[in-house]
Amino acid sequence: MSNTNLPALKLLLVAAIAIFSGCASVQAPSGYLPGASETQWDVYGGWITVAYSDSGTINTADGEFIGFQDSVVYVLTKSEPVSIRCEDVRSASFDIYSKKTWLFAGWTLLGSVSVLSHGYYAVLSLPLWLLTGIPSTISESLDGRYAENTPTIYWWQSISKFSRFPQGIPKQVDLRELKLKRFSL
Amino acid sequence: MNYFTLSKKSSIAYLLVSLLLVGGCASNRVNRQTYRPAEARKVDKASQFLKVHMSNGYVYVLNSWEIDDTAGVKGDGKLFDYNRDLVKEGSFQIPFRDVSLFETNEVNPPPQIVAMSLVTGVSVALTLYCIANPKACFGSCPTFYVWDGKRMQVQAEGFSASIAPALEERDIDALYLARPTNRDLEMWVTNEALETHVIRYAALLLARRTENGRVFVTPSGEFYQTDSISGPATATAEEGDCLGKLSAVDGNEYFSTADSANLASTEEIQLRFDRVPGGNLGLVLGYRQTLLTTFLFYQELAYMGNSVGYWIAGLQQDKLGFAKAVKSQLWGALGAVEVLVQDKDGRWIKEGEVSEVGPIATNVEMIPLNIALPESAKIKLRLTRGLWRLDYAALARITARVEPERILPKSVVRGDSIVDNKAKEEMSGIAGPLVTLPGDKYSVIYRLPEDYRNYELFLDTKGYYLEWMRKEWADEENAGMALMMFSNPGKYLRILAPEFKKIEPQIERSFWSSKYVEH
Repeated sequence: MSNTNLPALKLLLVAAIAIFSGCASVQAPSGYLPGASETQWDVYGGWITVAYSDSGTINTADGEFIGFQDSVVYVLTKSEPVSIRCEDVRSASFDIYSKKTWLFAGWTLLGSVSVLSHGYYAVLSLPLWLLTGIPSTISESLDGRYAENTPTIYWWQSISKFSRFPQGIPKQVDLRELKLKRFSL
Repeated sequence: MNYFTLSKKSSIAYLLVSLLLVGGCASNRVNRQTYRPAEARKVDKASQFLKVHMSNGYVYVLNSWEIDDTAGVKGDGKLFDYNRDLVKEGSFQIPFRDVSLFETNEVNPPPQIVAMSLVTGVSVALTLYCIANPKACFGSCPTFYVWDGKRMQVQAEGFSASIAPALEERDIDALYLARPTNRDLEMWVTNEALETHVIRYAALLLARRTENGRVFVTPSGEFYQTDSISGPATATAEEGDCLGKLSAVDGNEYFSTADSANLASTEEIQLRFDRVPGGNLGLVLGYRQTLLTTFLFYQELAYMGNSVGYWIAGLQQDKLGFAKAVKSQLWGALGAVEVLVQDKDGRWIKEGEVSEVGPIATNVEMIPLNIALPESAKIKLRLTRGLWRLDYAALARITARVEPERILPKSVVRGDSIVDNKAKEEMSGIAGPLVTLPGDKYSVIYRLPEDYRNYELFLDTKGYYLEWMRKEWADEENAGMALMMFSNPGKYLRILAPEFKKIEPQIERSFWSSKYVEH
């Protein structure tokens, strides 16, 4: 390979690292979250990860966001429902739908590779791809995601519409009977 | 290096399709709204789906629906219990009293889709452009850069006609715009194209000049001191006045477009000089070629196709007289810039010609005139249409013939920092040759005399280069046409005229924009 291509390839490598390092990772199990369009008819809550204080230790609960009511957060984990007082929450992150970050990353990388056919025009087209592609990929990874340290009640109220029971936990519902969404990997 | 195992065209096609498909798969942004039953009127009726959350935890998902202010919600869809098991599917009438919340979701394409689509469009268009004009992209020759007072400027291209070992030759180029700032003259030797350059030597020639004069080299390699250099009073091409374009070596050039029926068609430029000085005179011309020869060269390689190795080997063996045919017949058919002087009887007498091959650097050469010129003299330039770019024309009085001093490299640095003594010996002609590949760059230092400002600088190079075959060219393999360039170049130039005319308007821009590497 000619050494002239090395700077371009290095730039591509740096771009790839930048793309993926700037992206938020989704903690929901693969296959759980619906696509963005599917949220129109999906009847489950989004996937939430909550770090909370419990008797002096920090625990984590991750599962379906069931609801928020009376300053209590309800999470249906894979093993059991968990209720967490709002003031005990240290941090929370929440995804509504599955992102297609890899598509944007792939789109950017394919586009960046395509400039090899541009000759000297690549001096313009490669930065154009990177300057557009990297922010777009990062933006896509953050889309539909809420994350907060020591979230307030208002924050919980604002995202409760993405829970299974946005109206609050129904009186008739026994949380112990709730089943997690069946999903395939 | 091959970046793809598929052919380049196929690879690029797959790449373009992939880009478009990836773009089409990008996700959407969700705007979720919830409404209390009392706000039922505000529910977004454009929403395709309506979720109705019930006070018992059940939820309806309706895909066609309407809200009646008094009766409630009617619609078709599904009902799920609080565990989200399907309870019923069909038509529903839902009274407000049992409803806790209405939910709609507006799904929009994210804004980054628009930006990425725009970039994709530009990028695809650029790729298609370069595919459609493969002979307009990726071209160059051995190039030499020297400081011109403002920047490192390409001032010479070495042995541009030496496209095979059999055509190896010496080349002397005036570094007319060189402006050394101290005794150590730096010159960059670069390979900016998909070519292999074989350089036997690259020496500097120094010819002492007088205070107000300059030294020019003739096409046969003789050096003359001159003084009293003056431009023409008028310069007229077929299209009209071109005096302003011939007044200085400044890149403001005169050139015409090629003939659409015959690439060997000629044109004439009339020069008139007033107050011509006495003594021996020479006509100085600053010129270079357009990309017509580049096109012809690449087209010939395309006709040679996958057999290009056999053709080049044949050229080397010269069993069929190919080398001679290239040097005499092809260049002869294409034509030079001929200099004709009107004698006292009014007849036009050819005094010489310049014909250095290459579209990159401007050559400055002088044709000594044998005919004594009157005080007001007419000189005619006859040149092939669309082949030459003229930057300068002037008459100079010859004062003496001089022998230049030859300077070999003092040091050579490869890339940005690697001192390369082997390359120094190779470039000096002591060892070698120096072989360079695309992207290679050498910084060569020549030690000038203390009174370096009193010298005219020339570059003396010898070598040849091998153009790298491009896959897209091989599609046009045609042995008959390839042979025609050697056997009947006149016909060859007529046949290719329409092809060149198709790309002539944009070939310059494409060529300069598609260098393999920029230094």
